[in-house]
Amino acid sequence: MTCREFSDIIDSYLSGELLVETNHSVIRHLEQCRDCREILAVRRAIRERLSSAVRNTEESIIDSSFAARLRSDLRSKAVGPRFGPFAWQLFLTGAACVIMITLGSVLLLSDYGPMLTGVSVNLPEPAMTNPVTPDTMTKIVPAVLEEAAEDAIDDHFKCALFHDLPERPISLEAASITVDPVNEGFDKVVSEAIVAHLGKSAKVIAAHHCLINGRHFAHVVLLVNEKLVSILLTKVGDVGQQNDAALCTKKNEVAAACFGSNGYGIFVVSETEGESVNVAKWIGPAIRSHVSKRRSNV
Amino acid sequence: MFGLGRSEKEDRWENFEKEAFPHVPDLFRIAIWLVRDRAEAEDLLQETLSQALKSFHRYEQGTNIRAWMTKIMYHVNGKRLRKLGRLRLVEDKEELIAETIAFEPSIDQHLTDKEILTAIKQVPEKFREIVLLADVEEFSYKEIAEMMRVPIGTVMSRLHRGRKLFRLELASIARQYGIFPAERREAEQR
Repeated sequence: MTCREFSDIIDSYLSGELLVETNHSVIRHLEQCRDCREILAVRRAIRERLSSAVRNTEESIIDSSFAARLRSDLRSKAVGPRFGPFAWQLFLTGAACVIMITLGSVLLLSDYGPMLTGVSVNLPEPAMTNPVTPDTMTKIVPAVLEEAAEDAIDDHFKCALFHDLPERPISLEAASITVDPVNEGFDKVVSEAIVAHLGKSAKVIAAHHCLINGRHFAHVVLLVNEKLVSILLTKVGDVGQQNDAALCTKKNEVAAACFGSNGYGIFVVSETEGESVNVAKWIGPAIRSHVSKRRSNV
Repeated sequence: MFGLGRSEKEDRWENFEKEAFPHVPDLFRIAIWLVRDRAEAEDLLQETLSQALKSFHRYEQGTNIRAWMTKIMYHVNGKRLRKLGRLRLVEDKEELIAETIAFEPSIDQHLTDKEILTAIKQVPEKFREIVLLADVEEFSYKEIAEMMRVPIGTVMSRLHRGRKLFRLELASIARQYGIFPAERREAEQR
């Protein structure tokens, strides 16, 4: 092979598109020709630089909230709306109940109310479900938690959103034996705590143990009002005093709320700060108790 | 009679989700380079995934699903362009420019990502998209030919020209910043 011939097929060689025999000729030529080796190195470098520039430019990176919406829309298309064959009957029954309750309330609050009940009515103020106050957003978060939160967000993207983990996740049960007993029953604890607050608008869609950036996570993926929320638990070491749930970090348009418990960091990753902090507060007591129980069993 | 049962539908969705979703970031990147507008790229990706979901029964397990979905994306984009009357069929001028480049510039590697992106954006679309599909997305020539519905020979010749144009742009940008001492020396010697 001559240098001229090599120069015509250099890119096909880099793309692995040559026939085996031609490939051998190229290798033989390269062994003898320093100039062609240099040209090849430059071409390879250009290609790598182009690939990395295109992949890393911000405009080429998908918006995470769009990705989550896309997944949820497609899921609805694929599986259909979330109601069964008796949905109409249920809907009509529900509507009838609402009308009756509304009429009853109007009567009770009207001038006829006391006549009907014989007592005056004082309606309570509507209860707020753990609103996010500026206080929760400005709490100082231990550095170890902030650091682990970055990995928790990576896990949310690579595992919950894109199923693109370098290593295949294993079950929590298996991880409780091979990695850490705290994995055992983590999904059950999360599920019970979240359902107690949100009822059927939240459900667990996956639970496993994943390894990302060298960090072990017990990972529960929830679908809350058709949006993905990740609950992650990992060992972080000393987190100082038991801190309350607070916003930990934000990255790529998702927010991670976190709290520490007995050397573990617990992270809630979702699209909104408010949702992450609220969910972290709701599940906090149950998870703290789980962690302390599992640790004391070791 | 009433189509797939809920569990079958869920199974199919789960299969699709497991196979297709790891490639969504790549598909978005291909879409944005194809249409050069974020909102349009999101629409294109959404339509592509909807079509892929509908046709998922035709996907052969074990084959390259990323190439399969990119092929769908090109098909969807072609339809979209025809609707908008923006489909470019003849690009004689670009062909001519590419054909007439005889000289091969030397390339320095001290370029920033921004300069590399500027250079690739200067390459005419018809050549740029093939260079990106081959050198960034690492699709084979055969896969690209199928996606773009052109003969494999056309893919190879466009790639050859596209890469050459890209190197020319790189050289031109580098020269503007005066970071090609070797080339300057050569020119001085001449």
